[in-house]
Order: sequence, then structure tokens, then C-alpha cells
Amino acid sequence: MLNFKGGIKPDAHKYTKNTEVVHFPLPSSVRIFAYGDDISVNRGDEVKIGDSLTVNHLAHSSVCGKVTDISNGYVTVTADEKDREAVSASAVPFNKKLSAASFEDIYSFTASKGICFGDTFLHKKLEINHTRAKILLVNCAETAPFLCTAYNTLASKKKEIVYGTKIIMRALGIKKAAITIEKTNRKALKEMKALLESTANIEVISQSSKYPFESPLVLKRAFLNKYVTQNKDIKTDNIMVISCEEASALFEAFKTGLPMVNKLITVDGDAVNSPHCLSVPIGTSLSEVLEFCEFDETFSDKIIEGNPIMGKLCSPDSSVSKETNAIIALSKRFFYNSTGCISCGRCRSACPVRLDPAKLLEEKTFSAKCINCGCCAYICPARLDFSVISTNREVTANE
Amino acid sequence: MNKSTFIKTADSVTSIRADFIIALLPAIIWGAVRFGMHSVYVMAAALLGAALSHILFGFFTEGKFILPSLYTVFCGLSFGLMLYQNTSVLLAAAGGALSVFIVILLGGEGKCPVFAPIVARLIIFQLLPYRINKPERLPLEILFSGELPSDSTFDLVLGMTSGIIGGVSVIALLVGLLYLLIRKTADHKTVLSYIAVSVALSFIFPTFEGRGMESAIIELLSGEILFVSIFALSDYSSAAKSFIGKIACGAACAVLTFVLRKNGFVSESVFISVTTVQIVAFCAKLIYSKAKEIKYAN
Repeated sequence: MLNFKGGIKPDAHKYTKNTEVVHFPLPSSVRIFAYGDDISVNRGDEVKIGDSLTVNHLAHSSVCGKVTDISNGYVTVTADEKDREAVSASAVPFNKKLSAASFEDIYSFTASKGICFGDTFLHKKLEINHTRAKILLVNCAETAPFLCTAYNTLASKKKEIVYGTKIIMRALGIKKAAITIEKTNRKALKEMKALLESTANIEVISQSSKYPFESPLVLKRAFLNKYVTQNKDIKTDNIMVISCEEASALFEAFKTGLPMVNKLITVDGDAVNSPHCLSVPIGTSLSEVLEFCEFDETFSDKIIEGNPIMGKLCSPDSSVSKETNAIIALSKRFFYNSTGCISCGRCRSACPVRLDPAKLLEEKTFSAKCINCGCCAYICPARLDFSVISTNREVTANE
Repeated sequence: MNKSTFIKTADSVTSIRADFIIALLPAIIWGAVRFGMHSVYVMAAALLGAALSHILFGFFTEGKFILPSLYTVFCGLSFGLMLYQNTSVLLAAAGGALSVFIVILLGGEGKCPVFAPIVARLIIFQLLPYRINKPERLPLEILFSGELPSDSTFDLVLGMTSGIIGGVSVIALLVGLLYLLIRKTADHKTVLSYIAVSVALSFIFPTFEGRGMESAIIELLSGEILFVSIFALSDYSSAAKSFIGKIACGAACAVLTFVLRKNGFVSESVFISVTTVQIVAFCAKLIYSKAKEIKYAN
């Protein structure tokens, strides 16, 4: 089993676990972020689902309708009342046999589908790992509180995850891959092992349910410590990590030809009366999503995009983006007053990269090693704000 | 955009402080049962002294009455539990007050590099030795005088012997330790390191020739080692933070305790060794930080 020193085990609050994924009704309009890419459509243009909105295909329309606004790097598409679900003519499945496909074929196809689940687009990851990756890890861990998107993806799309894994292995010429699943998710572990029984080059490995196993760096180090102790040639740079959602989305894009226009998100929190795991068109307003889940505005104190440990505060006026994996609405119950540091050392014990957060905080400095996981801030009994030591989000994101 | 964490662990500073006080309860109860009402007055006086010191300090520095924190309560109780049953009540109150004063003087809770109740005890015992009323024949002193104490191991474990109020009952202390370990408030590494090295040294170099195991058991069970290792070395303010630090701290305390005992400091050996190790560790940390600063500056 994969494990690492430090980390935390926060209360799960996984209320949408084992619930069916609900498809959010197509909204009347969507506001889609262009990711800094040059926008290729003009106001008044007609677009269909899957039509590219930018030059480099980083953003696609998630509804069929008319471009009504282009501002601040966002494209607003107002849905056509009659034919909201018309799909783009460019949504053509991958037309080559996988065994005959080259890196360039897979890379260019992936790049045209705008698949992104974190800070980096999948085709960028392929580009970075093209010559150096020797091992592929498919991370199915979801240890942050409330979040159930990876869990539900793993429960319902095991084959898609395996096929997605094979596509990446083919593209990068990787001979060995492993799908890592939390040991507490026994059913998924058993089913995945049965599915891969005859596949020699893809292993199923269990991992502890400690946060932040979602972090690629933490997973890589845990894998290296456990399995690659003898082989000094393999370093963290030689391991490519993708999430199970990325693997599944890649296969679906190959199968249907449709770019990434929907996002599976968890909507939860104690200010949400009807928590859901939703498949939402990208660009949908958060207020619409929250309304769908019976969000109690009077009860809520803060709306968080992402997990409640390292997510960010957001406004209901913003929209669902490719990075959004959860919307968590919390009440005032989750408000904490800071007191002085009592030097208990818990932050140090919890840090998965073995830093001394209390010392860094005292010195008001940050470490380039910090992976911004928030373990120190979570575990601190004095409720100190450690955000000052984790200002290097960009450095660690690419690690 | 706020980058802070939005949910936090249920443990708070207050709950940690409360855990230490709860862990002291078995020792307090056994002390009261074993030594009678005067020991209760001694503990109460130490607690009141600590509380009063906190209130007065708040009044003089901030001009308002501040309720004593649970850490103040812990300091007061710890000091009371480290006294003998017939100690003067006034001395207990003064010691409790001195404990809190030391904490404040050395930077406050979380910054104080030593376990203040022990330092207060060492000062009080040096200044007013005639007010301590130490029992005449403590098991450890009997052992070091060349005899084997009449107390059985069962007496030592249960606490049917003489010694400091909070340190006589091994069972009460172990219950407290167990509670702290279950609540994950204390770490077992320092405690185990102190106990293991102490037992090993007592066994290898026995006080009573030819009866190494017996000597080791008496030295461990009657010498305040358990009380100090559980509460003073686990105190979050002054405890070592790293794995090696915890092990080294426990081992160093054990070695120093052993050396002091062999050189005539029988009853006070544990208290002197813990304070010495904490001061040395603090100085070493300061020197290391300064050296690192100079290295980076160059």
C-alpha cells in the first residue's frame, strides 16, 4: 500500500458518495473562460456544442446558441431556444487504430479537445512528459472533505479509465502504469483488479486515505519510496500523474469526438439542502447550480470553489470552469478565530513535504517546497492562517 | 481571493489544554485519597496562586481583569502535584504564582523554552528548603543509601508509598498518559525514550549490587520519572518537535538523571535534568538558527 509521512485525515463529509450523477439541465446562457487564448469567435456568431471558441482550442461552447458577449477573457453564449443540444460538426471520434497512432496523432487530437482538470491542460502534460515519462500513475484518490467526483467517476467509469490510461501509455510509449485507489474503497479496488487481471502492464495499487494524496508530488514520492527503491534512474520527473477523471475524459473524447464541455462537480456544504454530484455544462453560472441544489443563502457564510482545505472563496456570479471540481457552501459554523501559536508542532508533523510551517510563518517567508496542500492550516489548533507561506502556487503546480 | 483553509480540525488550543488537565485528574484524585485534606489544600493553593498571578499580571499590563487560561490552571496544578503532602500552603501558592510568572517572563505560552512549574519548584526548593517538609524516608533515597526499600512493587505501582503528591501512583499516571495518547495530545516517543534509557542504565549499573532489575524498577517507579516524562516532556510549549529531538531529549534527560543520582542529587535529579536539557536544547536551537542565518548571509 502506498503511504507517506505526515498528512491529515479530515472528517469525510462525503454526502454525495454513491449517489447517482445528475445531469444539469442546459442553461439559458453560459460564460466560458478562454484561458488567455485568442478568442476565435465574434459577437453574433452561431455556435454549436463542442465548437471551439479560441484559436488553440482551449475553450469550447457547452451549449448551442449565439455568442452574445466577449469581455474580460470570457465568451458568453446564449442558448438557442429551439435547438439547444445541436452538436458541432467537428466532433468526430479519433479515426485511427490506437496501435497505429503516433504521439503526434494523439497529442493533436487531445489538444483539440481542451481537456483540463487542474492547473494544466492534458495535452500540455503530454508535451512535458513526452520524452521523460517512464511510468504513468492514474490517481483515483479523493481524500478532501465533501468531494465525491473522483469517487463517482471511479465507480461508474472503470473501463473508460483503463482505456484512457492505455491511450496515454501508447502516446508516450510508457511500458508500465498503475492505477492507485484508496484502500477504503474496497469495492472499486476489487472490481478494478478483476478488470485488469489479464493486463500485465497496468497494476492496481492501494493507497492510504490520507490527505493530500491528490497531490501528484506526494503520490510520486510515495510510489518511488515503495516500488522504485532500487532503481535510481527513476526520479519524480520520470513519473507522469493524471487523475482518473482525466483518463476517463480522454477516452470519452476519443470515442465521441466531443471536446470537454461538461464538468462533473460536487455541490455540497451545510448551506446546501440538496447536495449533488452534478454533470454541469462548463460556463454555467454558480448561482444557477447552487439554486438547483437548494442553496440557503441566508444560512451561508462563504462559497468555496474547490475543496474546502485548499479551495478559494468565490462569488455566486462566477461560472463553472474546467478546474471547478466542487462548490462548497459553508455556514458561519465554519468560522474560526485565530489565537497565538502554542508551538504544539502539529503543523510540522502534518506537513507531507517535511517543512516547519510554524517557523516559516514566524519568519514570514515561504518555501519553494510547499505544495500548498493546507494540512498545516487544517491541523493548527490555534487556527493560524498559513496562506503567507504558500504563495508559490505556480511553482508547485507544474511539479 | 482567500487562499486560507476553510475547515479545520475539531482540536483547539482550549481542547489541548483541557486534555492535559483531564490527564492530571487521576493523579490529583489519588493524591487526595492517599495523602488527605492537606494535600488538597496544597494543590488548591498552587492553583489559586497561579490564577492570581495571571489575573494580576493582566491587570498591571493591560489594565483589565483577564480570566486565567487553562494553561495557567495546568501550570498551577502541575506545580501542586510536584510538592510533598505536608508542604506549606503558602509556599504552594507562591510556587504556583512563580510558575505563571516564569511562563510570562520567558515569552508566554508556546514560547517558554522550559517547563515553568519545574523551574519554579527548583527555585522554591533552593530558597525555602525548610518549608518543603519533605518526608524522611523516600523509597528512592532508601535505595541510594544502600538498602532495599520495604515498599513492594505493588505498593509502588498503586501509589501506597511516599513521594510527591502527583507522582506516587504509577497507575494514575499511566491512565493520564493513556488518555493523552488516545486523544493524540501527547507523543509517546519522549516518554518511552526517557523510561527505556533510565531502566537500561539502572539495570546495567545497578544501585544495589546484584539486583539490577529490582533497582531499575524502584528507580523508575519511585523517582518522579513517570510524572515528569508524561507532563513536563510532553508539554507542547517546551517539548521537542522532531523525531530525533524527541528521542534525544528523553535519552539525555535519562542520562543526566542517572549521573545526578549517582552524585548525590537523588530527589531533585529528575527536575534538574529536565530543566538542564530544555535549556541546552533551546540554546542549541538558537545557535543553529544564528549559524544558518550567517551562512545564508554569506
